Amino acid sequence: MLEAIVSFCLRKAGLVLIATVVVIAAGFLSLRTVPYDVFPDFVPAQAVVQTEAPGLSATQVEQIVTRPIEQSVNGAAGVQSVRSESIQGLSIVTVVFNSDADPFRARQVVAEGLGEVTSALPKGVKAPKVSPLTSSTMDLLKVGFTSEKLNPAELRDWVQWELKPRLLSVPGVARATVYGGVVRRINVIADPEKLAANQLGFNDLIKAVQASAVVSGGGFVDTTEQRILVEPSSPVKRPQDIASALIPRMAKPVRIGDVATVEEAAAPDFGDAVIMGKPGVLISLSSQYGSNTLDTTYRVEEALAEVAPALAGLGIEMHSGLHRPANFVETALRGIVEDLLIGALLIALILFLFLRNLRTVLVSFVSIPLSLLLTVMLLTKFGMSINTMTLGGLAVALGVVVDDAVIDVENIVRRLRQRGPEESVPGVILHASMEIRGPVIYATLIVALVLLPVLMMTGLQGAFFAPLATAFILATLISLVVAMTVTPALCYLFLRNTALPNEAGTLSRFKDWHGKLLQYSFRFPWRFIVPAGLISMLSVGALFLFNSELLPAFREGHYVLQAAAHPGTSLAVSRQYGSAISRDLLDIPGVATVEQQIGRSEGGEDTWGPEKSEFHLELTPNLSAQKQDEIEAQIHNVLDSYPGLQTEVLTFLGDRIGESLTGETAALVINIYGGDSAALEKTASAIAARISTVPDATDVKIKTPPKTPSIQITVNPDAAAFYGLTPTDVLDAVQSVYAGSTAAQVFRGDRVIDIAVTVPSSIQKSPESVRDLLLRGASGTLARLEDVASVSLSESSTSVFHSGGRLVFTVTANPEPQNVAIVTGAVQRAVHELTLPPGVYVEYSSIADDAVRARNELLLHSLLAFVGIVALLSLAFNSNRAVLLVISTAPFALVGGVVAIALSGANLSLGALVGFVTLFGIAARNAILLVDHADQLAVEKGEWSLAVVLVAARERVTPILMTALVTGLGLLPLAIETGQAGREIQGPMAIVILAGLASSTVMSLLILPALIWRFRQAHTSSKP
Amino acid sequence: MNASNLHRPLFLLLFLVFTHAQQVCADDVKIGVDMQKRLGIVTMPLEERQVSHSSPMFATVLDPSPLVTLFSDRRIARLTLVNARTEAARTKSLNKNGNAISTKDMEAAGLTAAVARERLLSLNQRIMLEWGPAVGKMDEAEQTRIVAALVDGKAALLRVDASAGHGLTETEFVRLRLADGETLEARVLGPARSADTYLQSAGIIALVEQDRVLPLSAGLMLNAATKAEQQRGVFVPETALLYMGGQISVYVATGQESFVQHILTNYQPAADGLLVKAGLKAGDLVVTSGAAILYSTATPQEGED
Repeated sequence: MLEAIVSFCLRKAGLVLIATVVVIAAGFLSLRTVPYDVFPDFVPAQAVVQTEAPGLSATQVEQIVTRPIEQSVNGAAGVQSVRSESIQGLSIVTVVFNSDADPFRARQVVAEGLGEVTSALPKGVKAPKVSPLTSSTMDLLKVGFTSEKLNPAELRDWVQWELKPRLLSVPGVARATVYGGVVRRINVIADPEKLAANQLGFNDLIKAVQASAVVSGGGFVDTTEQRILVEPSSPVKRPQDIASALIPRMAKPVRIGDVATVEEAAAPDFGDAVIMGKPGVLISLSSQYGSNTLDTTYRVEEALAEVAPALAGLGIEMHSGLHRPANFVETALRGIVEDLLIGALLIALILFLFLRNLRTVLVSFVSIPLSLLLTVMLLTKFGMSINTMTLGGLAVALGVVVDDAVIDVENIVRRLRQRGPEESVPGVILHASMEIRGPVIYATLIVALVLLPVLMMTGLQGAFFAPLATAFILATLISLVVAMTVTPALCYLFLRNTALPNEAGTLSRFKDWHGKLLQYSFRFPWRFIVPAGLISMLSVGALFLFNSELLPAFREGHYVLQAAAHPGTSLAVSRQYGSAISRDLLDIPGVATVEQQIGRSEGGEDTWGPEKSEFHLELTPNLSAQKQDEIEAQIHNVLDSYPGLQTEVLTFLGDRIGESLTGETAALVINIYGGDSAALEKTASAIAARISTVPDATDVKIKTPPKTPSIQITVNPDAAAFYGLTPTDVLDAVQSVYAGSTAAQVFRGDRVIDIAVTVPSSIQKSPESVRDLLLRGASGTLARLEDVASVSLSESSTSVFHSGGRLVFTVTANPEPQNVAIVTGAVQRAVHELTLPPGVYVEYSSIADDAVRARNELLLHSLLAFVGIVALLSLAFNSNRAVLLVISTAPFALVGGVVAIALSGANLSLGALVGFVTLFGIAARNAILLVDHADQLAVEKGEWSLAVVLVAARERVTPILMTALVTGLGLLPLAIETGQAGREIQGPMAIVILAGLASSTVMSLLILPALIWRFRQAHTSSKP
Repeated sequence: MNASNLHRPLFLLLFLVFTHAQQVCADDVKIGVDMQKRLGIVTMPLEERQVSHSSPMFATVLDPSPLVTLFSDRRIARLTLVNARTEAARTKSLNKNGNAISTKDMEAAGLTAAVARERLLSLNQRIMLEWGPAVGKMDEAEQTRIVAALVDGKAALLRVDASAGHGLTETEFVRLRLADGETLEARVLGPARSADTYLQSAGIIALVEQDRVLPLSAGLMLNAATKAEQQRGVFVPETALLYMGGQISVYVATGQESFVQHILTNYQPAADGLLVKAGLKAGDLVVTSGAAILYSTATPQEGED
């Protein structure tokens, strides 16, 4: 069948050429529409449900909002876990689905569950919202606005009502969250004494406000000829309109303005923004799941460019470079394209030096972009984006793609040089192609099997690394097909009438010298095999001594700084910190922009209180890795100099990965369930104290944050009844005063402004005044709050956490990785000695579990892959000796890479690991081809002899050297640029491959022939 | 002085200084001057102040007509009684002396006097029941003066109530606040005899008098407040207050770069702050901006970077 395919391509060579040109053109065109992103979508399918519950404390939110929502979604089809956090005014329920779940279907399941629970939520709680489906990277663009001319309300209005709708309409934008400025509201500030004097209560005022701002339709009038619409409009647009409205009552009429002051003011906010050290407004855009980050970013920037001319007139300054993840994608792509172009030139040069003919260079060269472009097109067809991982896979596959191009062309050229007058060009090409086809196919399949365990990884690691394996395997298989179809056809078209020059004299002389060296090695094989074996064993052993890191530090030139003060700290204090810290950070050379977002915004992904901030710091472009490290150290110094803050410095990508990991990231996690909050808190403290005494149990923490100050109001139903008040009257009034009941809304054009009934700030800002709050019952009775409820200063929970619908308190510890198992056992014994309150129980989990599971999974799959490799080799050679010969070449091939890691002081990173895979692939391929070639020659000559092995080895020198030089030089620019943005995986990989090619080539040219001569045939002796 | 005896007081002094220093050092929060400026930490010396805390009340201007009528009726009743008594005595004397007054006429005159006495008694009781004992027991001159002022509009009677009657019993004067911001002082006459069912307040009756016609019409409702006793202490502005752990505290500077947290225990509410009666003194430098930062510094959370 293979022969038939090659024959067909040779017969239709012209068609194959046209098809090649078309595919390459289509491939380049498709690059414009391919989805580019920073990372693959590694976040498991999940839906986040946020429910605003204004005025409710964390405990109240947990009881009356979070629990019903959890119950509505827990147990739904495909749900893996449900966790929640309840904070003041907000419930956040995160529903995580099984890893193979469709994210859209998952959201539908959640929406169906919510439909039932929404109507059962208490009055005043807003409808639950499922957060938009965003990509794993989530952040698309952050743009800040400041103004010396506009006040905070006007600035916020412009961003909220003019800019946000425009940006949300851009395809690919999932969400736009606004921080900062002032949200306008019309406050109806009730004078409690005037209300009481007029025998009115808050309820009366709220109803009056609602009645004044009602919006209703008017229906229509039908005449015989026409239908005429009746369109009443509300007269209420301004505060004075509301003030003049009547409060319905039987006694003398009272206007709202008689008992309250109506004015435009700032709504209470949960968040704020500081832009470049100044108060401002920030709009943070998130990208949709599956969208093209680059493309969407460009469209958003086009939209911003449309509004930019108007900004000067408005007095608004736009800061558009606050955070742009597309920078990293562009830098990575630009860098890799530059490196590939330079590498391509070097490849072309080497090909020309060896093949000495431009047409052969062209034939070899075409297959490289053809294979890579086809891979990109297919990846896109499969719904994958081009990101750091897929680019890494393509870079790894480059070695195999180049090898395919070189091997086929070299063999064809060599056979064409040897062509006799009776042989036809197509026949020779067919024979040359088929000569190596079998071994190449087996070698390709073997290399694909090496990465198959990575492809089969599950969970977060699988989502992250599988695209790399997919890209590699796909590129390798496509390269095989191209080598089988396009290369022979192009060789026929371009070389059939070409006089091919002879081999270069230098190369011939090298082969002669190599032959002599081989003869020496055949005479004394153990002088080569034993040292090679020892070095191989040392190298493999050394691999286990290196520090390993799953992911390198990505140099995206952007840092995320998290800063948290004590719970209960106000927005104003966080702003003060932010302004000072921003100014200090901006003084660091190399820092381009700094923005701070404090607290949360409605619908935003961050759900913090006002005590917590996130700074986004963008560096100037093109800074070296060393400079970025220096800046990071200075950032730490700045943050450490500020007292009272808990801080963390992450790269943007590190922050995204950390946020996406399910559950805790600590090494040892103890979840405490059962009982009420007080019992669990007490148990958590006891457990934390106990395990702090366990040796090596370091960094023991209780996850639940400290309590926040609160004013506890407990209604006395009997006292309330005495005054004709119900508990609802009391609590509604309290909520009105301190949360500000939104009674109605006013519509001004496309803007919606809330109308809230509240009290003077002298009452709102003074906890002491709470007691004196006057309340009026339905019967008209007036009472002070203190008369009907106990009012006291206290503390309450800042956050309430649930896991699987159960209240949970968490204690964590971070022992060293090598001690995790021992410490876990000791902790379990220590906790067992404690007497837990009735109903309280404990569950343990550790990152070791996940690591062990992942490692066991990988080991099992690797074992299966190894069995597969052995099986393939057995099929290929039908000889155990051959199988062992091929496998034995792998360790020495890795020596160079191990030395490179040791000398560079680098870690055994992901890039280095895939570099080793490439080296194994090249070494295995060389070994298979050499062994097979020797076998073929032995069959042709009818004997197994030293001459056969020498000839086989000599004929393999050119492709082995070409592969080594072409691959090495092609990756040289990547190796030189290692550490730069976008080459975090490819750089270390290139270094390992470059160094490893040296040992791999020595193995293929020197050690392997000696092994073949010594062991390939049973009767071979050491004497030539 | 015998120098050899100095060692004891000196040792004691050293001990006190050492322990105080230990206490200060152990609880002090230290932040450098430069960082204080950057974070906007500001201190202010405390000042002594006198504050009167008044309870909110509501005053309703009463229609004086019923009272004036009652007073008038009582005067008439008194006069009627005098007349009846005089007539009864005269008829009794005439009857006794065998004049032409029959026993029947004498007895009738006596009964008329008795009826007049009962009427006067009834009116007194009505005044007491409807307006309270303070009004009921006013002497004639006082009554006349008040009635004249009420009629001229230079006085007004008010009923003052407070929620659940808070603060009504402890005051002699009530300050009224008119709609235009003017304040008037009213003298408390005594408790009212009927409660305000809305406020569940026993109520008091007060009288305001001025030399001019007052803009107080019957039925008008005003805000009122007691003139409570003045309290002395140091005034702590609300920007200095920190509410943590169920307590109110402030940070006091103990040096240029050190601060200590001080929990307030003896205080009362004042406008825009608290009046602290013990524990702080005038001149103490209290942090009026940045107390939350100091608290956050003093209670570091685990996991500092």
